[in-house]
Amino acid sequence: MATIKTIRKRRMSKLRVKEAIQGYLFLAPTLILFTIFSLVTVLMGFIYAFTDMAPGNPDNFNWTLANFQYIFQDKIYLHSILNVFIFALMSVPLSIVSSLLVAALLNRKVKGIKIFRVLYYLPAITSGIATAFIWKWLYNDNYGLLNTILTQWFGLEGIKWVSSQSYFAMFCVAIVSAWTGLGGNMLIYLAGMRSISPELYEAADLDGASGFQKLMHITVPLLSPTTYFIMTMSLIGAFQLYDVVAMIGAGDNYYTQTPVMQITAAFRHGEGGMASAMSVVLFVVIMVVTFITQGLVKERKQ
Amino acid sequence: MKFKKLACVAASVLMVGAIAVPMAACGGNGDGLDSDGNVKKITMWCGGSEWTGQNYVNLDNFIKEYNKVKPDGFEVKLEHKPDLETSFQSVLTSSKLPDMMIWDRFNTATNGIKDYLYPVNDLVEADNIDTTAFYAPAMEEMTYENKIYGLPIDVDIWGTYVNMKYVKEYDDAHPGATISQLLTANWTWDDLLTVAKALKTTSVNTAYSGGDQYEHLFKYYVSTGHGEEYLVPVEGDTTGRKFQTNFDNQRTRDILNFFKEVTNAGVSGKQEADSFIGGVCAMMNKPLYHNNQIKTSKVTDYKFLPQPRQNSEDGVNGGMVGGYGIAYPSPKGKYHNKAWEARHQAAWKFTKWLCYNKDNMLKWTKDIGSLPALSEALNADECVAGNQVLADARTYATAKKTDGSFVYTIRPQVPNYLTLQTDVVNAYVRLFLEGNDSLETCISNLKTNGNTKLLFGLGS
Repeated sequence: MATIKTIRKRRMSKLRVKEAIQGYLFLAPTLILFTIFSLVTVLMGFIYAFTDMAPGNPDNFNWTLANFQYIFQDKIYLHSILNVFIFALMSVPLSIVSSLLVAALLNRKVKGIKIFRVLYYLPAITSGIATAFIWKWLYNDNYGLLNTILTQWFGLEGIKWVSSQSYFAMFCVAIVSAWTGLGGNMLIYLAGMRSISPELYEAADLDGASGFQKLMHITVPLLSPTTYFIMTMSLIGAFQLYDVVAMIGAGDNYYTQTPVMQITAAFRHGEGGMASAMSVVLFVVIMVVTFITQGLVKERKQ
Repeated sequence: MKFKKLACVAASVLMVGAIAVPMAACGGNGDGLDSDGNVKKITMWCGGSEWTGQNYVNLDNFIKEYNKVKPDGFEVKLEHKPDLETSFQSVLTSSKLPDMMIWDRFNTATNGIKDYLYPVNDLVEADNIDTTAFYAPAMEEMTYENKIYGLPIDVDIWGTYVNMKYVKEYDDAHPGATISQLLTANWTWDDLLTVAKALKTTSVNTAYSGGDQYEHLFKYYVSTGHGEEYLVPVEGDTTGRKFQTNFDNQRTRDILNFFKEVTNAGVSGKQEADSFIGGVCAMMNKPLYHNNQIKTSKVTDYKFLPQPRQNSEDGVNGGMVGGYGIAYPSPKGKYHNKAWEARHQAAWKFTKWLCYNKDNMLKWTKDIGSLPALSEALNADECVAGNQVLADARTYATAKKTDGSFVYTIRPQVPNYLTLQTDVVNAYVRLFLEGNDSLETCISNLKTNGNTKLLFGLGS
């Protein structure tokens, strides 16, 4: 004979099942869309990487390893992977440091501070076209604002910014990327700073710590999970660099070419198999870099 | 609880519906026919950077004027696609494919062998279209393996625009060593370099821009009448489609070293498309279409010269000729249906109206600014009346060698030519010219990667 406890248990598990079904029903549309447009397409990409598939006739293809053979002898594509490594080394620290410093400056109870928060967030909501125009004009070798200031105000020679035949061009791209991402990262850091207990700062004040010491010994260590999140997302984004380079017209430079540009060009030329193979190689590179980064962070935590 | 469950289900259905309905609406544009089965509208695509700005406005106005009259009872809807070659391939298996395209002719071979384009041999024969009535290289570019993929519209030759203001500035400052006498239709590549070095000393920002300067390797080859030398058929190939590069020779080395000299002289650089019309660049290598932009700019005193000839007494003077035609995407499966057949017939009627009619071709020249491919229109006096650039361009385009062939030649009719040009030649020649690779590494990459690219998708 069922006891009250058993009946209650049965009612609880029935309730849990109902709640689970309701939950899955809410998830279903997203799950279906994710499966069709993400999982399935990724899988198809992996398969097409081993074919000579052309977008105009995707059902008619031959199996081949020629795509990967070409990629590993194509200096242009391999160098583009090096380019995004360099970009990541420049842009990730720049993004983290700039947004952390700005967040620290804006995390104060000062009159008018909200206006500054809005101003610093403006790049994040500025349209891509407007951003492209601004930075193209700034960096233009002939009539750009920066070179005009250098030549006409200071009598110096103009600088080749994104047309420089060196990684200085990539550094210019990194500045644009950091500027564009400043607002979003700043908000994430601000939210993180809100969770730090003010008593820690009070205790530091009592010990006579300076602002810089409080920043380095309290704020930065306690924000390490936030920093790790921003670093990981920035790293993945760095390897998929395309929009900033294309926007400011730096796509034709050997030192700023990116893998995604090569992939786009391959699709444009009707080489769907080649583009898929390049995407697979990029995917593997990003996975390896992410795993290495996670491993290093875990080691540091330990 | 029941209400909660119902609410969950309703919310899920609404969410799916909110996504599915717009997706279903992406299905198609309608079949362009009226209730009696007559064609009322057909779609034409134009694409690429050429059909933007003033050129697009001119083309759009041209089509609007056609639509006011509707000589064949239907109207043409013009749509611009920035990436036309990719866009049309991705809609071959959908109802969204256009009925015709303003087609960059040199892509015909690559797309023809993949059956992306629809041949019109039967229509040409049925309507007794005389294909010899067109400028021969243009018609040749619309044909591959005896299949005619449309009719050519125009003749677009590449040449060098020269801002004479800076030439006069130099000549005035150096009366004993002028350069204007070098700027003739018979000039050589050495003359170009001499003029560029001189112009560098004037007030201009950049003396010379070759556009995608790295293309000069094969433009040089083509401009000297040796377009066939650097691509040779693969031994033993019976399809006639497989080619390999022939860059590993002294001629290529000489050309590359010459352009290295041009780069090292500091006179050249890639410029924005508006650099010439903005007066920032004194000489720029561009096609005839660029004249439309210059005509509305502040640059009023300029010349249009042909591609220079080889640096020798008997060096051939000439260059590359390209241009557009009207081609038809080939629908696949169920999209090749009666409605498409009706619209295809309408598209063919429009093609004949434009390309096979002297008056309409002359109107094209007047409105759009390029030379007509129909010989009767090309050779007419009114074609170039009052337009020195067009007159000079026509002279260059119709010049013939002693053997009767045209001096200006089309790019090789070889599958995968575009990817060879952009992914291999442009990329690796640039590395050499910018000092990132040695000459021999460049030659080796051109050979290895070029051969691989040319054979992509052609089977073993």
